[in-house]
Amino acid sequence: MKSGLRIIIFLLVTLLGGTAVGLTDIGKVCVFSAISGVVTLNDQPVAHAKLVRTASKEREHQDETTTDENGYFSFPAMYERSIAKFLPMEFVAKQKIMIEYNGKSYKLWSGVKGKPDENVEARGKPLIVECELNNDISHIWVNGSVFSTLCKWDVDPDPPVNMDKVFESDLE
Amino acid sequence: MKEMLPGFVAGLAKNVYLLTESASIEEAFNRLNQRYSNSFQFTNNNLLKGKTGGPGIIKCRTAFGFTLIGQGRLDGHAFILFRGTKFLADWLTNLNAGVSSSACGQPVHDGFNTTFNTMKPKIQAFAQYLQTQQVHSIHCIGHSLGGAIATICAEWIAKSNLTPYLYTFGSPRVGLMGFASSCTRRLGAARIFRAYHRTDIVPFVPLWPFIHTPDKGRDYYLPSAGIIPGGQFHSMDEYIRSVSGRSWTAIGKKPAAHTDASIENWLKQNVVISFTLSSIEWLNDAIVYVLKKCADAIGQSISNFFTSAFTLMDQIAYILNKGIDLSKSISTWVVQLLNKIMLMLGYSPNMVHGAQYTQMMIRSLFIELQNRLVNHANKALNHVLVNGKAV
Repeated sequence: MKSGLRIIIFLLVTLLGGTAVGLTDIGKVCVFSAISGVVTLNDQPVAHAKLVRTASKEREHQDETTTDENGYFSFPAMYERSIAKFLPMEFVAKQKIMIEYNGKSYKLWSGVKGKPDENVEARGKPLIVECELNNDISHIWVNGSVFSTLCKWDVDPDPPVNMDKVFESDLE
Repeated sequence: MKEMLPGFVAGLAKNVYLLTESASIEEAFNRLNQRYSNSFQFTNNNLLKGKTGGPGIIKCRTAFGFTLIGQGRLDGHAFILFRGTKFLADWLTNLNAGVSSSACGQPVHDGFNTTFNTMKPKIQAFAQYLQTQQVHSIHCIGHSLGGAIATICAEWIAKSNLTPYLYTFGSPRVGLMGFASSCTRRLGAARIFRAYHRTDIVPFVPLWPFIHTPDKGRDYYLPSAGIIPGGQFHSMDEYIRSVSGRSWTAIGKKPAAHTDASIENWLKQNVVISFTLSSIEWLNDAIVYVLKKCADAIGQSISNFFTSAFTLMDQIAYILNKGIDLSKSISTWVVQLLNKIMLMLGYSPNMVHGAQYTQMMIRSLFIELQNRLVNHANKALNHVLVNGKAV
């Protein structure tokens, strides 16, 4: 009896990973971390512009917000819950943020999130960005994810692959 | 030999997941060349006329791939990358998976083969395009289902005058013995790099008589934590962690295969066995050993049995049942094997005498064993789902 109880407790603890993860969080993954920041055009705040954010994994999710007079915006974290029984497979979530300003549409952010955890985009820190619509798109690899964006944020990108170490003979 | 380092190949196997999710092929190439310091060719011409077979995305409903041509240090090298998908689940848990004929006429898993065939026109066009380029080496790379497709693709390319390199991470078993040996022969075992974690569940399925390619030479065994196979060590991130900075030669071999004598010894022990990794490995080897014995006695290659329209379970039952009717030296081993399976399923083997095993009974025994293993796999997979890694 006692050992049975111990097993049940053990199972519960291992299942829930000893963290604050509740049963309702099972299968819940983050497809776009909370993101906030300021949008400018030629260093001037982009005020009252509409942003549309989409993320897709098994399904497509969408939400919208508007910048304030200082060009500031914020989106909460976006999650997806999957009920299907899937084999272990790589996590990939496609991300996009479009912004409309003065009748023109800009692709602010196009990303592929390669891990289910929150804030992988900034290596665990909150994702706070500065986006200049006149910037060239930069392609940033972070934490097994990749982002093509007009925004900048405080993060050390993954270093480029060392092309001096590609063939087996390079290690001999 | 111009084989690529495991860490480099693993990076590509991971990045193909990210690249195929890019908004456009141009974006994919820009991202790629940012990461690999402009080591891949990008010609606008090929992009616009996707059908000419230049570098680009290969797409179909169930799988994706990416074709690339190197430049700079990768000059003369072409790459065909495949990624896995969730559709793998449907196929691997299908108890009666059929086989169909590969490019070289060998029996392969029908689901994998169909997927490859859907992508084949694109790959064919790419292969033709390569003939106009100075390409001396083709590398087929894939993780999970992508590894299975890469294997079928490599066999197909080997029919031409270029012999590809094949690299897989956590690939399921692709074909039956005939395929494994013919594919190994065509590519040469030295060009096949099959890396897997000991506790990755995917390389355990589909069950026998599916076997891994190569069937000779060596595989690249990566120790991983745990005594029962699961999903955690299937992820590409874990594979990257295990192989980075190492050469293929530095990666270990699978601990010595069970010898015939040790398999016979294992079969003779009448003790209770549970579903641990080690007993699944023993059982796997024992089944192959006994099936081979039966086939040899009938005077046929075992792969000849698995080509008709019968389901695999029916065919296994047929062969084993035939084995019982053959000489005593064979029937003893068939009965030992069936007894062992009974034990593993929790039955007492004394319930049945050797001669009483009918074909029908053998079939249901194997189906129950498969069921048990699939349930076991599903449990492991659900655990992965809980951790949010499978979705």
